[in-house]
Amino acid sequence: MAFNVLIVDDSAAMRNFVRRVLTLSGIELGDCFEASNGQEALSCVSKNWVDVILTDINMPQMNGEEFVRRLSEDEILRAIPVIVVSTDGTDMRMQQMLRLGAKAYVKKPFLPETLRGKLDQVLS
Amino acid sequence: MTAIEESELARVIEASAAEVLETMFFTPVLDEPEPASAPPPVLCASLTFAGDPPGTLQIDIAEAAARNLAADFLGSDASEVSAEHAQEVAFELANMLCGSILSRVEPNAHFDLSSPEPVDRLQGKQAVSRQLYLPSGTLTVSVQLGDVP
Repeated sequence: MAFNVLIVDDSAAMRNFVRRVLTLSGIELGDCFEASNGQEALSCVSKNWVDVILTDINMPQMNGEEFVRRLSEDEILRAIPVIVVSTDGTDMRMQQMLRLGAKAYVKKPFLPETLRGKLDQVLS
Repeated sequence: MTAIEESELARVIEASAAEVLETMFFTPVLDEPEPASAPPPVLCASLTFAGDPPGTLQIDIAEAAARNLAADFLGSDASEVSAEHAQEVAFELANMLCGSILSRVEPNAHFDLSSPEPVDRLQGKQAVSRQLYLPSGTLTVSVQLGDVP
């Protein structure tokens, strides 16, 4: 089964990197959507079927915290598992994002197998 | 905020830089610099962070090193990396270094990082700096903890 993925990060380079890691990890990818902030991401999930979301936190316009909160408030969209991929590795931030509804947290820098492991965890 | 000695901060910078470079850019940190005939052009990037403690992080990286890091990060050839891509990846490097360093210095604190910006040269006379040798040039990481004047 191929999975549709949405990558949310204000850095095009990081989106490119995450997409490459996903491709190399062996996961069967369907459509791979990209958004540069939470607002664009909300628009994307309202128009497309997305199986899993990988999102950064620190972004302009709508950050990852607000994005995850908005998803969790929607009866349909809250079912999409969210993995936070962030440079912020502090325990406080990780706990905060998990409380808001994220299913997993990956701290940058990360090994490809770490991201694959989290994907397997939330998609199983 | 827990007080941190300069020597400890320097050790944290080195450890964070090695982790970020090896994990995300597949680039080792060398023990000795590669021979260079002339000082190379450099790219500089800076970001501030709010929290306890607040502060600034700056990187100063040889342009050739930035291009090679960008190539490794983007999965392309160094000759195909534009100046814009090299700058963007330098920003991402600064961002990741800052997150890694702060999570080691204050793992239980909360920080808000600004977006990285280009700067002309290294600033902050009170910063703790570490110079790291990469296969194609030098990377200097400078961290200043406390309010920036």
